[in-house]
Amino acid sequence: MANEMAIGGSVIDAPAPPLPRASRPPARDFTTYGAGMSVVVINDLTALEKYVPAWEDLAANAIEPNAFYEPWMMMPAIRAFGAGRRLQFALVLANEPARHDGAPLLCGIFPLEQQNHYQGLSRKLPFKTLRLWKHKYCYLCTPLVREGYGQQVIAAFFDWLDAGSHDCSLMEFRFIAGDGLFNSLLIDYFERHAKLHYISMYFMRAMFRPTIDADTYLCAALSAKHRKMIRRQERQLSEIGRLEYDALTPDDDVAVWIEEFLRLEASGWKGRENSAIASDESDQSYFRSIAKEAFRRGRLSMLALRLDGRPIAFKCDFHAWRGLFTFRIAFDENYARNSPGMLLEIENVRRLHARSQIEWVDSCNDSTNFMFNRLWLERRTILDVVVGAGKSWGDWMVAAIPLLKSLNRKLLRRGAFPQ
Amino acid sequence: MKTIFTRRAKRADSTNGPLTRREVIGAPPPQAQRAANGSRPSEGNVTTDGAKMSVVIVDDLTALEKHIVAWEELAAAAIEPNVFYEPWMLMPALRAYGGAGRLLFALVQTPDPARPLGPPLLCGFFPLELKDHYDGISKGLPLKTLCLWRKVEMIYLCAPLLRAGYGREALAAFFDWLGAGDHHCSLMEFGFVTGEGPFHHLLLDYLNQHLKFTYVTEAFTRALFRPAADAEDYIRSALGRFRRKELRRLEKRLAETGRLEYATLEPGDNLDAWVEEFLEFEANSWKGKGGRALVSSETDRMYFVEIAREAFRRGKLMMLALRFNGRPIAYKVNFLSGDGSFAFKISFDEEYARYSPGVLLELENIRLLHERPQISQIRWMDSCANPDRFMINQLWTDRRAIQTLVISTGKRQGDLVVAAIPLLKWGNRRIFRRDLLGR
Repeated sequence: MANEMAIGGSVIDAPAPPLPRASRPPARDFTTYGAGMSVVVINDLTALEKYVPAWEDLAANAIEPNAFYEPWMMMPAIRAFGAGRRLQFALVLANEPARHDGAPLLCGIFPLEQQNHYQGLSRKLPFKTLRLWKHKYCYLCTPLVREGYGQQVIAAFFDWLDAGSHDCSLMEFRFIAGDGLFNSLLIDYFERHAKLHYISMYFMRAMFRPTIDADTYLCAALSAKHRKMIRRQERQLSEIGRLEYDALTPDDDVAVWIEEFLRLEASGWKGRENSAIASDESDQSYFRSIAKEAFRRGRLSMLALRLDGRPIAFKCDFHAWRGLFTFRIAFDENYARNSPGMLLEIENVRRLHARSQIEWVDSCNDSTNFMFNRLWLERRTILDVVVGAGKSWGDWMVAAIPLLKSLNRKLLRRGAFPQ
Repeated sequence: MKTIFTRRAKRADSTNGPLTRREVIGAPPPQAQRAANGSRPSEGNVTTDGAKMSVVIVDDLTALEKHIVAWEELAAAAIEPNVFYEPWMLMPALRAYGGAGRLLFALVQTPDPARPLGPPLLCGFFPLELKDHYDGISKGLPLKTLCLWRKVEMIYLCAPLLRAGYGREALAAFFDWLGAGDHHCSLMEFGFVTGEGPFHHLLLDYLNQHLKFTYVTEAFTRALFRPAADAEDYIRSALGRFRRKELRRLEKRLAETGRLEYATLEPGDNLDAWVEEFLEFEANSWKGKGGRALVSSETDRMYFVEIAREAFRRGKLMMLALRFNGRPIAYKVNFLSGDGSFAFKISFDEEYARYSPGVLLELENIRLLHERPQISQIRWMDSCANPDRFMINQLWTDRRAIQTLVISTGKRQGDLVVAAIPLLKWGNRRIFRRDLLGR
């Protein structure tokens, strides 16, 4: 089976799902869910490229948008960060004869990485694991699933997992949104099939949703004292020079903006710690290519705070229909006293309220980011969920993980999560 | 986490009655992070860092009654409304069904910053039942467990009430009390709480920060209604063109053969007539034949009449009927709470099943929720339905996750059991061929 996969594009027809030992009397029959769907596993880039148009269409009709898993962001990522990794893409296709061109409809895409170890515990466990692929600049791993086909896609994917041709015993849904429809589908599937699963990691990150207007929002988020301080910081800056908030418009030269952003980010602590985008050649070219492509598609949003024309704070966001993912922020440390980053975020709150089509913004930050946690009032949960795949001891492992974790913590005094 | 545990001598405090009062003074949360109290921004600016919370345990209903005023006020200011835990709904439920269990009510209080000398501000309300066994696995494990109180088929959500702006501190104080171990229980089960939203976020945040042992033993989703731009928009996105056309046709066919009317309970109406009509109607439906109607048990009937009257008096009752020649053929009862609402019961006449009267009434419900000015502040309605209910799942496009999680109170055997639950479940299924719920 492994050989077959290496050729790429091998079709594994979904077998009829085994009758689950469900705990509740089902209202609907289960048997039809996976029917009519097939899973294709692809592990080479050229084969995947053929699916790009279908993939684009899927992304535009997904139950939950995820810019990081769209082809224009994913394909450059595979080229930049995929080397040396065992990546495979599970494509769920619906065989609908009624479609005009006869081609199967792409209904789900699961970018997967195969690893020899399960890494959710402090010590690596020698269990082959499939996990949703998360590269350095991927902040959300919710797979793309076509609207109207959710249950069938999940069922077909799990049928493929259970068939075991991938040779792994665990499947890890990493970094998925806990509050979205994809997670609802997972919960439904687990409940209906009485499937053991374990939430191995969770955290909350800041999220923005507009309220009535920007002033109401800011009054709710910041105390009067803090608002006053921010006004003072802004005034002090404008006394130094010409202060302006500048947004990227379709007529601007995006290359100039990208270079400005990279330079500003590299000038700060990120540059010193070699964690700036500009610190690494492949990171740089990855960022340039996705930023240019996003700009071409009208999905790039860049906002800068300029002092006498020079940027002192910068942010870069990617649009996903009615949502927005915060990709990177940077500021000039020489002006840290005046919180240019905060000033820019406040301006951003104003602009987001003025642009009524944006419904949410994901900060894509970790749970400890002080500025976003303070300024943005909503939260979204991010989860890692582990399930058994194929092999019978996969289930056993999933059942044992919490106990192993607790032993780890109790006896060996390690943290709950690997550091 | 340090807890200062003090047992106060009985105070001659006439307002609190001669009951056992215990207090745990919670340390302020370890991280001086600002509370992330989400969704109600207007409340967000109440700084409560280090607010001193105390937990008062009440274990009988007469004593609890003295807290009703504060409790009402808490329910109105809660981070997330839960109508089932509001006093006017919970007190009758406790009187009707709470007799057998050992009940405890954990009230989390803080001095009121607005009135330092006045009565304390109630910031958290946890109705609890003490059980000798943990029954999340097939064989009840002989471990004392605290559960959020629930009555099957009457209470559909058990999310505790937490005051907006004080949620984080109130929850921390509750866990401090749990950790102090005064209750001799090793497990705490948060059953039937929301799996998303402000309460869930606070709970996860706490568990994450304090590395508590926890396991989600059950999770499912149920249909949730959130209004769209308008009713037409909503219905169009929920139902296909053919289904909409078919429903219009069914409605027309009914209207041609008789007098078809949608009726809504209005403030001046005779409530008792509506309630009696509904009860009688439900008794004649399939629920009544299966012995599951409200009238099948006198206790249920009295409980429903009482809460319906009280809800009506408060303007929190929504009753809808579809009548054909004056006789109801579908009925729906909803309770409103803050900006949320809960679908309590629904019933339809099987004789007319081929006209889908239940769906027709649901469409009317959707129209009312969009158009009625009195109820248009409603931002969501929880279907309270089983996850496998086809009709409502199709008609209501959003989902709400409901979950049961079990947390160790900090005793060693509690930690061990929480960590071992999945393994026990797995063993149960593999070795004893029982299903996950142990039947």
